Amino acid sequence: MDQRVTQEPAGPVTGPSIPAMPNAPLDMPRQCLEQARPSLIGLLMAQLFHKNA
Amino acid sequence: MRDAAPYLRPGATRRCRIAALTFAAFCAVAAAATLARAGTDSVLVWDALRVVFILLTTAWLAWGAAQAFLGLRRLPPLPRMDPPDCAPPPVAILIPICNEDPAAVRARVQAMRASVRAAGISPDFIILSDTSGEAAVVREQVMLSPLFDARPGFPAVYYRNRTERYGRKAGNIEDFIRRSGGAYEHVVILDADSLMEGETIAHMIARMEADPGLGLLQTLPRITGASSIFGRAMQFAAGFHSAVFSRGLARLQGATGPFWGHNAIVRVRALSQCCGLPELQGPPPFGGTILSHDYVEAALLARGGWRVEMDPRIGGSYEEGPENLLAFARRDRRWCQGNLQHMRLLGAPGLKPWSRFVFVQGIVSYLVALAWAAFLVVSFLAAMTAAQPDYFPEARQLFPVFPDDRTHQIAALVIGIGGLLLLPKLLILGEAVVTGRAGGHGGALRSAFSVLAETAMTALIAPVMLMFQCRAVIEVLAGQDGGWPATARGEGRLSLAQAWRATRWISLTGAGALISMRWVAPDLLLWLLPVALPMIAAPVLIAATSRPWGRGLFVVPEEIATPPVVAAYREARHDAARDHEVSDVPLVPQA
Repeated sequence: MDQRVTQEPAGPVTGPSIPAMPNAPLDMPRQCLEQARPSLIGLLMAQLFHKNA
Repeated sequence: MRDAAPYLRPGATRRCRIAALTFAAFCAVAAAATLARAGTDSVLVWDALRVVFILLTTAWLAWGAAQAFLGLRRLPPLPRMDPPDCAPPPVAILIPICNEDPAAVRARVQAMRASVRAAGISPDFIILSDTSGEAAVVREQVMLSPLFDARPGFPAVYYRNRTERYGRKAGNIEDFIRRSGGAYEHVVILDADSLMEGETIAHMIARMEADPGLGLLQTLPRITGASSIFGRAMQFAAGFHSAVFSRGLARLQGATGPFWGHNAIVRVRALSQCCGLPELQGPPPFGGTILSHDYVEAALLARGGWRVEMDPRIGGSYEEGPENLLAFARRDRRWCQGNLQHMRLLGAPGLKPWSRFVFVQGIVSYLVALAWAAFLVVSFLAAMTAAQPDYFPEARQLFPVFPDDRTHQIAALVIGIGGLLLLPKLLILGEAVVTGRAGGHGGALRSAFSVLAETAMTALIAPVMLMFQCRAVIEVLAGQDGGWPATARGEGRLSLAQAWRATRWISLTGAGALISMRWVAPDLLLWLLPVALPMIAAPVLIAATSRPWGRGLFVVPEEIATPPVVAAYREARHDAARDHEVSDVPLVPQA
């Protein structure tokens, strides 16, 4: 189900309903942004920010 | 007309880039050489450092000035786009929200829904909520519920609330693409405070349909609704100056951006192919979720062979801005972390060189604050360590030897840097008067006074912003994650006590610098005053500029003639406020 409502209604249904979103999945592959072999800049950044990188 | 050709020709973009880079390099080298010739009698290392800092800061100023110069010339007129011959493509208007005022969200959707209907198009409105907290979610759903009633002839409105809120806004949109993206050809991405005219959206859809290589089309949103001195000054600057700066930016960027994350249309196929963002290795601020995702997405689309264009000629695109300097600085802290995180992406494989250069620009835009501060500190140290002039260096010397007069070099440097700051604004004022654009800002005289007042205000708050930016950069480089808190919209007037609590560290630093200078180098005290006094007065400046301001100055065209979608929003907002005390009727999802 596309949408989630955080709580189920406690009593009779009195409010308007939320229309279901179109069910049309699309692939969205993760992009490569970090090189397998780090570049000179990458190595420099790793040295500079060793704790974080 | 169906116009498939890019409105920015690659050859012209290349020439603009070469011209701007050459100009920035020339100004930087000239400033550095002038300062080197004006070296003091202090320790050599201080002079060398000052030359490096002035090289960097001048290059940045000249780069900004070059954008203004390139933007002075008008772009060709916006092509009239006929509706597509076949059935209109399915389009979704995405409105990502996170703990926003639901009454304002509802009013914006109502206004835009009526506007797109009047424009003869019927895109779906999709509210993508990342709101957290059970009570807040229920309140949001109840307030938005009138939108869910299907009305004949009106576009449908969908809503969903994520319970797994990975990836912030980019993750929110990605979640939608993964679940429902296949149903749409294009998505118009908005911010929670965005408004767009139906005609604008129809034009953008037609542009995307006519140009299959166009992956993303970004508009230049105009700021509306500001009421404080600070907010109105920023709103005026954005309307008056950005009209020219954005033309220069578009000419420089060509087909590689920019994308500002909202008020843009994106081809779903391009977005899904290219923009699945990974989590970066390591913890924040340099690892984890990519914060300034829009620049990265623009770079990835360009890497994937799609054109990413910004077209400042497209009107009918609006957003809101911060109403006081503290809100501005808070947003800037987020942007600082997001831009500095791009250091990790400079070597990303396959990016176009200009996309890497855009990352560098974002990084330098924050590092340059540190460079200015370092320049001031080093100048202070140079003055402290300067040797006293020796008029009789030789024994038995008859005539004194006077030190070189460096007044000319210093004056040339001050005039040059002042020129880079002021000349673009003066030229833009001239352009506005000549083209009649000043009429939308209250006329030539009022525009001139507004530019003067905005420049004076910017000069006053510049040292305060410098301190905020320096702290932000130091925090990020020290590994401190500022997070990405939800924007507090509509916050305006600040008391002196609130401003003091937020900026006392700036006041005390300014006072400390002034007192130190008084003892160490009293001759240079006057030079420090333009920086130290605004720092000391920071709480007063911030509180005073957060006060409401009439419409005498800083007039923008949207105040003279309110755009239809903005007027409709304000009316709907007024109605929604009346419904604020609605009963908490629970909503039921359709299966």
